[in-house]
Amino acid sequence: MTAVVFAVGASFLASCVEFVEAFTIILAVGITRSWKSALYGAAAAALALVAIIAVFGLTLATTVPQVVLQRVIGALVLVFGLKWIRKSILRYAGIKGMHDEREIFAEETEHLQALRRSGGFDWAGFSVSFQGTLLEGLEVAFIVITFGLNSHRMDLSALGAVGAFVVVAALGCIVRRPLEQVPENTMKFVVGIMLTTFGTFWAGEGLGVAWPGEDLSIIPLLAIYLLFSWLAVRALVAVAGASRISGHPEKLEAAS
Amino acid sequence: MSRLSSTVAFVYDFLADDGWELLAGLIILLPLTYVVSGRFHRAGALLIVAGVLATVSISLSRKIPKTS
Repeated sequence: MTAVVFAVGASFLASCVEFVEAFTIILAVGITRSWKSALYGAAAAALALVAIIAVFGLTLATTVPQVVLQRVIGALVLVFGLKWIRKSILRYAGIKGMHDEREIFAEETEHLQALRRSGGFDWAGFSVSFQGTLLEGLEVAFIVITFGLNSHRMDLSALGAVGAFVVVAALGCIVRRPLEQVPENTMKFVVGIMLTTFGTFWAGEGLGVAWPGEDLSIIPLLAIYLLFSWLAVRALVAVAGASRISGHPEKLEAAS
Repeated sequence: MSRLSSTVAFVYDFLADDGWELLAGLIILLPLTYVVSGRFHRAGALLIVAGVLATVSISLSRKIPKTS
């Protein structure tokens, strides 16, 4: 039960992050090129994603032993989670620059405006929207399949992703701007901790680890990684502050 | 072909962004966890958590600016 609740929550939060990135690209294409090409590109990518999920989700679920899935997926999720946690800790400590959706939107807009618009259908806009949506959508598909297979509730995992889509799409329609209002850095931090927690749990199960309390051990795992991240940010802030005081701020940039 | 190149680009970006540090830690940790879990009851749980924390700590420590 605990694993199911966490799977839906993790699927929802992780999918939110990916949808925010995809919507940033779609909005940039829609505003600077044409809404028709942006939405057609996103729709085509969505169709491609449905096919991929149908084929690979079924294949993974019926032909690969669960223990192998737990090892492979657990290790993959762990790698992604660790990368996100590390980046988030460095950002909150001020060693790495914050990820800014507004900056990404401005860069994307400038890039698109530089392109010459050809007559008829805007294939350049379609292509950018399609690629951006497909790339981020594949990550969502990976998240849904991963959490769905491991919690044995693909429906709830997909529901989490659908919920994320609805929330982000509604927000996008309302604000019609890059979704900088969504605190992406905070979300990435939370998702990184959740991915690392699930990655550790699943990889451990696949490798024969006997978790005390079984699924309930997810909660202390989550607490351990939260505490570690908080301590790491505090320690790095102190070190970075000492470096600035000693007159070597440039080394912070070099280190990041 | 474009899919292959985008996959290669993704892997390259991951490794170039110091992702190799994390991979190296897990390449050591996961097989070790498998061996330990098979021999010592529940020691595998402690090992995998400690190993994950050590992997992130080592990676973060490499980002600490030098003050000397």
